[in-house]
Amino acid sequence: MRQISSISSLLILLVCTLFFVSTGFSQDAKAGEKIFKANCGACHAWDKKVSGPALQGVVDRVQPGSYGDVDGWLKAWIKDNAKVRASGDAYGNQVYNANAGLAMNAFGFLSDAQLTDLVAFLHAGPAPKVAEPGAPAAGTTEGVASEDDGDSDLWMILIVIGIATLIIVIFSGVNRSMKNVINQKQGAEIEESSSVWSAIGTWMKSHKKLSSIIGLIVVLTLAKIGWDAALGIGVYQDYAPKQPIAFPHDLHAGKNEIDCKYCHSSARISKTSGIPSANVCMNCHKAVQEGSRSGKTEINKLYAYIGWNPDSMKYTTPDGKMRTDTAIEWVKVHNLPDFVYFNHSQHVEVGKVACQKCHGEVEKMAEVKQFSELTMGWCVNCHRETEVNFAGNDYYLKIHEDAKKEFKHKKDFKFTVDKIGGLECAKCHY
Amino acid sequence: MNRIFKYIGKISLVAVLASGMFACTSDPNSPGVEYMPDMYRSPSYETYTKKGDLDSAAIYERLEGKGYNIETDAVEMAAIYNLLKGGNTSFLPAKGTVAEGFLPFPYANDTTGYAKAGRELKNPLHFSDTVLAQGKELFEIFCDHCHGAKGEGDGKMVQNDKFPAPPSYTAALKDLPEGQIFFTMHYGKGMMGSHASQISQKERWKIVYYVQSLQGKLAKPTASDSSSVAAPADSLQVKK
Repeated sequence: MRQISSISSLLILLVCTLFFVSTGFSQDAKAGEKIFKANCGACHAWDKKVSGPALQGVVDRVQPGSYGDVDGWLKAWIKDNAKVRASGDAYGNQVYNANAGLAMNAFGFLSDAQLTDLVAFLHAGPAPKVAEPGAPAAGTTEGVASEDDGDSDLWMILIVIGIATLIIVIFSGVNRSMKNVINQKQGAEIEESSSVWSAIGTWMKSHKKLSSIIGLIVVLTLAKIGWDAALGIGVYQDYAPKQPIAFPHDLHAGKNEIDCKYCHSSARISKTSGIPSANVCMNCHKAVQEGSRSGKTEINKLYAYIGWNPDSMKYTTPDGKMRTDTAIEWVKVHNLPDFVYFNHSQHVEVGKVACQKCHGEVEKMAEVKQFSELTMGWCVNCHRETEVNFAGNDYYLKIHEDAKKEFKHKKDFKFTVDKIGGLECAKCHY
Repeated sequence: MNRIFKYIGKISLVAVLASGMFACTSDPNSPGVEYMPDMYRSPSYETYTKKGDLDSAAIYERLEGKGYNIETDAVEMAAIYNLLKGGNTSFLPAKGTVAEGFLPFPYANDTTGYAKAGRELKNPLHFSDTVLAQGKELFEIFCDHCHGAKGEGDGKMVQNDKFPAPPSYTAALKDLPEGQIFFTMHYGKGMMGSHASQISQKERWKIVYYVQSLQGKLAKPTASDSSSVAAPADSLQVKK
């Protein structure tokens, strides 16, 4: 009995030590991973070559030479690799030459404790990623569900109307046949079964006032529906076409807070806001190879267009450059007819109008839709209401000086865009 | 019973018509009702589309009876056709094109070029409050989602674990010379891509000033004149 307990206590002790050793080790590696992400990730990845070599298995590759052991070599190399190379270290120079003489930065500011953690991470490798619970599923089902809702609402209404009509018809039929049975028993005339339309006709004849009111309401309603439909001709509001790549603005501009003008950089300086060319996508998507919503499917479409191989981190074209013979045919959402002139830089840079004023909260849209009507009335209304942004605006320096003199004595004066020619025909149509 | 079926038929007809009416406007893939193509669709090529309009038959048709020799000219036309077929409407500028105000950048994209830029390349803009403020504005558009508001490598992309952290301006890059800051924006470095297509040379120099202020290198500006030297004159100010 005593023996067993001592064995079991020994076991417990063993397990405990193992536990502490392992947790202690992994915590070093965890701290090391943080240091790695903050300092090394810009050039090194774990399992593929970026601008620096892949670091998986680095601890097995290194030949420490005069540095004693692998850890010692790694620490010396990270601190100041030029010094290691200058000392004539064989492996260091071999690595340097193998990477076409692309020198690594010196990280002399890392403390010895940080270096120990970092090397522990190089031994252990990255911690397995914990998937965000339900995050991707929620994103996709949300959109589908809301689409379904709109349709099913309409169908529900139609079905309810249908069933109600059916019940009325059946009951009137039943009512009539009951009456007929009674009539037959009493020997009276049998009521002819009539169609719904003739029944409505007889009802209208007997209720002239009521039926004319109902008729008027029906005509007015139809006129209103027709009028609205006519106003909607050529207005693309709520147009949300399916794009060749399901680009989520809510993740890019919303969650990751990338400025609109990062990708649409020409909105500041030209007439068009511009759709970014694929090299702008690749500023980030060299590193970001997996989306949080659609995984690799959508990003792989981008790679296919431009001929990028995410595993070798290279373009597959013969000249090693981005393919230029393909086009990602984005479907234009906000489309103005050719007879209107509109200039983005005039509004964004001079007028300091926020993108959202016309385009809505794109940073919350998974799929972009046309937010505004983009009708002439809509333009004109905004020009009548929006005050000119004079403060610190070089563009309006002279016009502001003149205006100050001209409108000196007016009280409660709002200097709106239409006062400086914002309603002149030839400003937009010429 | 038959009568009931007849009514059901009528009701469903109404239902189908009604749903057809609603369907016109609720399909997100359709822009809606159009009375006539009211210059919404341009006869000229729209940007970011393929030039797939011309097929060889159309070319022959155009050549027919116009004095062309179909046998010989068709070869040339076929070459043009192949260029158009399936190609992009957006082209790269012709080789050797120089943008107005462009200054040559005589540093190769390699380690020697990087080192040389660090030694030689100097900011041609006069430093002023205005330039610094403009640099800040541009930094907030093009840099801070990765580099962080203070350049410490903790932007939103890094916080969301989407992008590897760039080195901090106050640690690893504390002594990065102005020429190399410009070089990095021009060519990209490590995981950072080239931003030359988005930011003009002049704007890049403005950002350089702001980055230097984050490095803690620039003292508070003393002179507050807003004029900048003419050097990279690709002024992107809106034309007055």
